[in-house]
Amino acid sequence: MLKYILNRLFHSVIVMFVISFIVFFIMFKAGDPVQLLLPPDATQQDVIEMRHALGIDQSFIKQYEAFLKNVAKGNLGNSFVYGQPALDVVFERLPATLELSVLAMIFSIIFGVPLGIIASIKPKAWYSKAIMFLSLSGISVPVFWTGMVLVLIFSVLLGWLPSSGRGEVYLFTSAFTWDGIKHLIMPVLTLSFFQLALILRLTRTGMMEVMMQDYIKLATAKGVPRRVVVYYHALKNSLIPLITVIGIQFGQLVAFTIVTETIFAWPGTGKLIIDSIQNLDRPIVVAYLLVISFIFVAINFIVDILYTFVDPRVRV
Amino acid sequence: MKKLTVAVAALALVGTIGFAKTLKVGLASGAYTMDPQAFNETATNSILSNIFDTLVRFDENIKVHPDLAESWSNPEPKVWIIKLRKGVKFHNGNTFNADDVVFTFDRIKNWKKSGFKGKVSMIDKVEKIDDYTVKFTTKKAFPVFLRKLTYVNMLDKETVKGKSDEWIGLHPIGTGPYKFVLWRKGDQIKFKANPNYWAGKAKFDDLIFRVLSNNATRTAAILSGEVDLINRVPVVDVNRIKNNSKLNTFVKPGLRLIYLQMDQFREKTPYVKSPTGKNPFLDVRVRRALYYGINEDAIIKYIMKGFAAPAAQFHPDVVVGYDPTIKRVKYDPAKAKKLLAEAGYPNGFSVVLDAPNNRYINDAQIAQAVASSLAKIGIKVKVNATPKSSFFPKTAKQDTSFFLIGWASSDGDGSSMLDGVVHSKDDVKGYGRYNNGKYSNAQVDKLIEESDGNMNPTARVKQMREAQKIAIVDDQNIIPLHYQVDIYASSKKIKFVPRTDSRIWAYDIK
Amino acid sequence: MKFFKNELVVEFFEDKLAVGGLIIFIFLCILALFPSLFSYQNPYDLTQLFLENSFQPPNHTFWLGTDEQGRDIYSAMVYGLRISLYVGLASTVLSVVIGYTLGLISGYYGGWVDTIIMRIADIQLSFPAILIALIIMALWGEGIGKIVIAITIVNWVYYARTARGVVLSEKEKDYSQSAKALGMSNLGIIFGEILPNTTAPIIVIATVRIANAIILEATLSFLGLGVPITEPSLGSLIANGYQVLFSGYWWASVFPGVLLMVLIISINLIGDRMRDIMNPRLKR
Repeated sequence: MLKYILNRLFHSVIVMFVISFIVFFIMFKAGDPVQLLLPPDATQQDVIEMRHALGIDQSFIKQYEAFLKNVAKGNLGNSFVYGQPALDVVFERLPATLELSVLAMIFSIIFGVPLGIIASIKPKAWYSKAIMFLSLSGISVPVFWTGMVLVLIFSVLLGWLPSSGRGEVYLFTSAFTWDGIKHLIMPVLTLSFFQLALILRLTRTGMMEVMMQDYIKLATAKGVPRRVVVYYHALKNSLIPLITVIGIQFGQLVAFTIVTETIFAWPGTGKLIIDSIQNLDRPIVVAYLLVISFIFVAINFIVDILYTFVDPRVRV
Repeated sequence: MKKLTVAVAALALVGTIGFAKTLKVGLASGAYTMDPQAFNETATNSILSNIFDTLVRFDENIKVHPDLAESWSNPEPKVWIIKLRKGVKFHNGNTFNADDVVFTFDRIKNWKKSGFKGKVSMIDKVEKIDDYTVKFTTKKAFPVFLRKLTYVNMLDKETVKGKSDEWIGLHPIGTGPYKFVLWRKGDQIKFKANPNYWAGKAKFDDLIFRVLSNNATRTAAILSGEVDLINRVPVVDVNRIKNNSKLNTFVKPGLRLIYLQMDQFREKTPYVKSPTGKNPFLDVRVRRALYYGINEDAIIKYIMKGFAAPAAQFHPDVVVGYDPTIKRVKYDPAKAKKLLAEAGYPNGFSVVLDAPNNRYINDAQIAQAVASSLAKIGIKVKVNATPKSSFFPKTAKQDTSFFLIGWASSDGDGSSMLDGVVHSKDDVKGYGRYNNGKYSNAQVDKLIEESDGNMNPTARVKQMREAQKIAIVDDQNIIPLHYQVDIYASSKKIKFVPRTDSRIWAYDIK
Repeated sequence: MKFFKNELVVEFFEDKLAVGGLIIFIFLCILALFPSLFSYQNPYDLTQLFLENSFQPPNHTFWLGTDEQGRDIYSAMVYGLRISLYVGLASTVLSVVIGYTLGLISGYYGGWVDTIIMRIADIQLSFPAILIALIIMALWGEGIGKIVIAITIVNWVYYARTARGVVLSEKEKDYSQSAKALGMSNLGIIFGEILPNTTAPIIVIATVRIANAIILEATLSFLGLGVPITEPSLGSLIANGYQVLFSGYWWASVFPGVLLMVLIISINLIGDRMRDIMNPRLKR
């Protein structure tokens, strides 16, 4: 077990190292951030001085070397634009993004799994077909389109929900205050629409596959009540592939907050990364991607561990 | 004055007895830092102007007024003596005096990452005469001195000295009407009124700036009453807001010119396909044909919904150097075609127009409308509208033949555009950084340099006008399109006064 | 073999929803193939656009209204459909070819080739697709060719992994072992024997991913990083219209949005049915 963990850890470090190199290189090639940082009436002399101050007048190798030296000290450099340590800037915004993603994921699971089970038990029933068609729409509608329609209906036409921003924040989250909840509803719905449909479909497929298995048939033949068969034996076994997918999808969700946050002016990392790419703020872009890939790696790791609990056949 | 101050303070007191008054402002973009000397950018400057004071300040019509400077004199062309206001306290209780002024200017000058260098580069020395008198010596005679000072926010030496840049970027302490409370980045900034503000306490006890960068959501926020005031009302939404009986709209002509510039230095330019193979923009008749061939009236009417002012020259009329005799030519596609034919392009040519798509109001749409206009005189224009992250570095490298860009004469003086856009590129003397079409005329350069050091206002304006006339009328170095207009919407419960410099200074809001 | 295929076709047509999806999809493809036949304005020809027609609501001249440039929304949708479909198909074909080839090579040869290809795939999968595309587009600038390449860079991994997985299991099966025994070359085995047996799962994935590629393009366009605005796709039409959606000019984004939805739903209906057919375990 320990060897496995160390091995995984080593791989993750390599992956993150490569990511940092690629992103660093892309941003290096992208252009001169000083053209955006200085006002138009600055002179060429100011441009040169600022480039020097930010250390971007050096060769690529030298800059990357400096970056690695800083990383060794736990420092990803200061943001060109905000002037603050890049990691601080990202971490400051991370709770808002995680809040959206976690809530959207919970929402998708709470509704996706039961609906998927319902649709799997009697696939030919009209309600199963209706659920399936709705879920098909769910994976067919772009996230931004869902958000747009929600804002149009609930903010512009009905005026029930605020169209933007994060409400009152209490203890890292806005889910504890009424104002906060009102602000959360639409972004979470928007973000979870696709996930819900996906989870629903996977649950259904998984359930249907498991229900075909001999041991389920055997259990039914032996007279185990149908409810127990469905909700205990079948569900437990169809959960296994679902956990992997939820793990991977959580990462996708974090990424898709970019779109959701843009629409709802949600002050999370998604908005930050768009702004930072457009300001050519390399330290932030690198830090953000490293944090995101770390979350990715960590989740996959947790998923693997969870696997061993759900399915004793898997040994790590 | 003093009586008035007392009266205002008393009024403010009455206000607070009932309940705390809050002003909520929805902004198109937020602050990048709380360090007033780091990033010279309109939104950040606007927000910080509520916390920090400057020696002199623009009023709403961009005229210079005393702020922390009580008075000033200019005994010699290169020397300015500034008398400071007494009894002014920073938010932490420290007294404001000449040491703070000297420290502030030194910090900008010596700090490599400051974006405000351009505002102090004319200064040679800053000396303390006594606690409330400061002597500035400029390198050359410098007529725009006071206007540049409106950008220099006063820091407290005792607070800031020895602190890291990161600390200063999070802890703004000034002498202004509002004190810093909290900053939730990308979301909101909260200030509260400074009870000891030297001109009296502000009317609103709490001031909240919310960042609502999405146009549609910003409009929705003012319509639903979530905020009391928004800036940069999308032009397509003005009528909807006007129809709401609880809201006021304000239109204020801005300082930013939107214009087109073209490659005027290469024999062969990268993004043009012309029948002769040469760069058609080298011919002034072609440049003039563009001017005649763009239906700017239609752009203003349909793309800007009437919220822009047609431009014929570098600066709008509030800016020093404006020339009332230069008028925009009438849209005349026939004449444009004739000019093209005379220049040897009867069938036009094709060119790529570079434009940003997230920098100016409706920038990409304007570029498209320009292309559609020029298509009708035979010039095939492909629009390459990209985010500013790729646009500005691209044009800075002159990797373009034809581009749409903007310039704001934010000092209220025409010299900044003449220096930065019209003068030939000259990195040593610090001219022409934004002149990426590389227009160059020795006579214009000479006039600009002379006017830059001319302390006689009348003679100076004459030189500026002459330079402008040669550059834009004779040489057509750029194609002016329009001046942007700032549009605000506010709840009728507040009394708002829009400012030419686009800032939201909450102290003036009643 | 022929009978087997026919059986699949017959089965496909048993599901009315899927048939509906197919009919709509074919209809949309015809529209996209001959846009000039079905529209009365060429929205890309700037000489045909007049600002005087800006933001007309749906009427007799402009069936679905116009945008701020005076561009007819209906015609722009027909042409935009073509671009969206082109981006979806081109990027899918490209990523299938690249991903499939790499996956086959990786699975068949194993060893360090396999390690390198799969490590690259791992790294890429360790951050979200949209981010990769976003960075590429933000830094390269817009363009139809560029967006196809960006989506290909994102998508090849899925095919590579699938192809590799299938090859690994097929490699051990009798037919490829016997081909090897008969002295067939490696390439011959891969393309002659293994490839035909791996096409079914790839086709199913490809169908779904066409829909995904179209959504990705639309999303990038929505974020302002897609195709040039003078040649709008459905996504950029929606993005452009979104700016004015709440100002009363709803037609500029709602109609393209509905068409995009219909397009993707039709593709997904087809893909769904195909998956059900090809997954024999789910048959009852």
